[in-house]
Amino acid sequence: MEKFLDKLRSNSLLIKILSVMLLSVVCVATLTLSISIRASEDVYVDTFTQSNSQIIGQIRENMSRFNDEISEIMSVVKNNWAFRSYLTSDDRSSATASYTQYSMVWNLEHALPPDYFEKMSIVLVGVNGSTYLSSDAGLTIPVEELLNSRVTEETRRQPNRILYQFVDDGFTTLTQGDSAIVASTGLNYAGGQSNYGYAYVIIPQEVLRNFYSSFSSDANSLMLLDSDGRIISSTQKEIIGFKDLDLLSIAQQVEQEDLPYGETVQSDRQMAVVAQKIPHWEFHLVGLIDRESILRAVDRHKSIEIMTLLVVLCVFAIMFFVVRKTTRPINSLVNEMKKVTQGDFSRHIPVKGNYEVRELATAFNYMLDGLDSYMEQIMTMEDEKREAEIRALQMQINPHFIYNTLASLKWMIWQGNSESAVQAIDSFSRLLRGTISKREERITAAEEIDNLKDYVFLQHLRFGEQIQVRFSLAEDCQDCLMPKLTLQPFVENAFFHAFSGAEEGSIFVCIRRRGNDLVSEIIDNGSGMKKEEVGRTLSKGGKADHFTGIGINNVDDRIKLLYGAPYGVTISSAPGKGTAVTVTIPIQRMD
Amino acid sequence: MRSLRVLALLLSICLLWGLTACSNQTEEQPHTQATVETSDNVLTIWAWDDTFNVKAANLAKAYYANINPEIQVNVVSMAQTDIITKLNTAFSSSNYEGLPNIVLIEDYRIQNFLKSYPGELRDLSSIVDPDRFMEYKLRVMTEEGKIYGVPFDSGAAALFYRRDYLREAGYTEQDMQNLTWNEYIEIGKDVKEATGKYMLTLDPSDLGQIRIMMQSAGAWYMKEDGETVDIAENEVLKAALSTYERMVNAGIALQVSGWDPFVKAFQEGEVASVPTGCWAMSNIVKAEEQSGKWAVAPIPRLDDIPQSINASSIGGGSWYVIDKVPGADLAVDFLGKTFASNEQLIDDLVKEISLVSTMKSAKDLKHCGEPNAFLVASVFTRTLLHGRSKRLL
Repeated sequence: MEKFLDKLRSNSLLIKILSVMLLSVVCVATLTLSISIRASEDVYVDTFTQSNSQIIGQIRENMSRFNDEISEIMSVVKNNWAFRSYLTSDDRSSATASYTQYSMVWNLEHALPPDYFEKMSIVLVGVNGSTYLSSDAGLTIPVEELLNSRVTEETRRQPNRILYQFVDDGFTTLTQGDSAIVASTGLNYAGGQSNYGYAYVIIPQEVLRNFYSSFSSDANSLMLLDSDGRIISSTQKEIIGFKDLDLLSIAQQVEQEDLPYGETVQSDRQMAVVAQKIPHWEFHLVGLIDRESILRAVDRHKSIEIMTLLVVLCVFAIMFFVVRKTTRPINSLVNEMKKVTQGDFSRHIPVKGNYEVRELATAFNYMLDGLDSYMEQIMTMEDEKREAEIRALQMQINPHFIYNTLASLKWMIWQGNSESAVQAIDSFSRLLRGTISKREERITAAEEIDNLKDYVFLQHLRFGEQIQVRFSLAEDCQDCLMPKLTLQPFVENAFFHAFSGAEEGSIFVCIRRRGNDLVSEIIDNGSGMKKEEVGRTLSKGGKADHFTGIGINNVDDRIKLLYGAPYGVTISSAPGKGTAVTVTIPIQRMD
Repeated sequence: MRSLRVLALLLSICLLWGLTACSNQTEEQPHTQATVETSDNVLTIWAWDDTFNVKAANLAKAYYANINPEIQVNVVSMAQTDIITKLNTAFSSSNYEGLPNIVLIEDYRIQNFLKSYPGELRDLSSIVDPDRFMEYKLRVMTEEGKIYGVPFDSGAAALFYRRDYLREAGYTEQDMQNLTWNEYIEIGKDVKEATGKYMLTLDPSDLGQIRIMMQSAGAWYMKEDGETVDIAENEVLKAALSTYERMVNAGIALQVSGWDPFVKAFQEGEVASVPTGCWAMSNIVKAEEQSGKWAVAPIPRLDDIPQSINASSIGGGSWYVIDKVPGADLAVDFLGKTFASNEQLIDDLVKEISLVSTMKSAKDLKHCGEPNAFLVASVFTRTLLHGRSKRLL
């Protein structure tokens, strides 16, 4: 979790850029998609609606032609003497009547287009009660009922027109129980108002439906409305006979204002309404186009959506790579810089990535180089300064030491112990030469031991020989080099502090080789120190009585300065048992 | 960088493909049009008389539903002339769309179909046992030894008459037996005088009476071979026409045109008799208030023609299967299990629609022997079945 958060934090730039870009790409894609889908849907629906209008025009023409045929039949019925005679004459048994009827049937049959009146019946009814039905159909209602029906009533009012009316029950045996459209006209003498009979053509639903059924589909349903808004024919049989005034008003609006289509909502579905009035029939041919169904039929959104998704994914993938390519050098730059803040100036940042980052890295590296070299210079200067300081210290023989030594010499000479005095003067002058006159920084271990021996001799002269010092120098270490006065401060320290109050003690100085190191040990059996005191001892400065200004604290610094961190001084001590000082330096010999 | 370029190329290809895919789809506008398909388990039957053969088909449908309930049978009532027109149109253009599987065709017309359109109707020899049906009926539908139809109703002609009107004019049932047409006309005149009712209907556009008269003497418009026109020297036709003329001039005939006024004439009691095929019975019994007023007698015979007898034939139909309409095998099965063999069905039909069957065993069926309440004092079917039917064509 923590790791993940870290990763997030370190990639926050990438994530920010990517998310902003993704968001905008998705937004643009969605917007474009929806707009284009909407537009294409509109175009499609428009086209579909337009083609529907054309279809409706076609149907209208067909129906108008059908009307022409019906009116031709009606005019034959109206104008032929045989029909008039049949429907008006009371003579129903004479040879004339026989001839009349024969002519009537013959004329009607010849007026009909071949095959045309399949399933349709022509019904002639005279006010005298005589009837004639074409084909083998029979009337299912009494003649009086037919003469008093709404259809006839309407025809009576406008006898010289051909009226098309809807009936719930087509009153012949062929259309019995089914609704039908009845074309009717009054039969009268030359345009008069008194009718001697009526002619009906019963048009069953199938015939009417044939005009448009092949044009309708799931998406568009066609229907005929009469001027009362009654649905008189439809591809959906169950709605025939019901009134739909809303639809009628929309249809009338479309017709009058010559709109491409109107809109309505039926059973929660958005419908486009195309309509045309059919001349003569006084019907409205209405097409209801279900937008959803058309679009479902088209249903090409899926592929567009998939395409868009693909494109978005592609774009996103490309963006991801590009952005990551840009941000990755910045990230590594940041990581590298973090390391630099931890104090490592030597690390260079790899110069790669795009131009800006490369420039940045180069500048940063340049800066690092500068910093690094300044740092180095400062360090060297500091080291040199210290070395000079130490050298100055070691050149500086403590004047008290000289006074005290000279006082001891004077005492010996005064005692007449001239042999010891000569020896002491030799030792003292050797010590002074080794310390002050000799310009070399480093001397051999043997010389150091000699110096120590001279120092110990002088100390013995001054303080007596209660403290014994023994030396051990390994054969192979004779000519190993070590800094001047490395061991002297420890021996001196042991002399003055290790045996406070004790009668006698001993100090053991041993130089030997351990691996590639030269190990010098100064071990005393004095009073020792507690652990806390060890640190203090190391940092103690020089005392007035000391040989040089070099304190034991300087020794460690000097060794580290000369040889590096792994080398130096370690002190181990136990109270009451003694102290052991170990000085470790690398083995170096005279060239 | 190279991978980027490849990606860009891929992307542009994708986009191009997408564009073309879109535009392709815009071009194809699916205009699915409803196509009428004949389902495998739907049978359609055409017949023309709601009181008679349509009803019979519906009864057969009910029987068949017990045998094969998955099959949906549509019985469509159509005008007979329309059926003939449609069959002619379809056969001559080999377009069978909208045709039924089974169709009832009148015996008059079947020879025309069998000769003009060979192969359009299915050979039904496999389901029609010639021994079970009347020979005269089978002859018209047999072509080169193959039987193409299932015989249905008899076209035996009979004289239905109103007992009450005739009694009013002074005639008894006895007087109505074995009349000649002249005697019939004389009775008609008396009836007209006594009751004001016409004796019969005549349709000037359909010379059914002429056909009945010719058939009673075994004559037709054509000679025995069925091809040579026989009108000019046809004595029987001449006698029939003069009888027809006498009937018209006597003023005893109500002139009607078409089926509806014909039916209405006797249903409304305008005529005293109906000399026609026995299939008219189903329409006669529809006027229930006339129950008991009707009787039946043999059809009159021609006066001056010695070979004319008191029996004739008019109409009568048989069932045919249209070979090229999908479902023909099913249709054969339907007919085989109903009209071709099912005596129980025939018996029911005798009762329901007063069928005069052409199945020989029909004479022995239960309902055939029963007196008909409608026709007092006459056992309808028996009378007719015993009447001799002469040659048809």
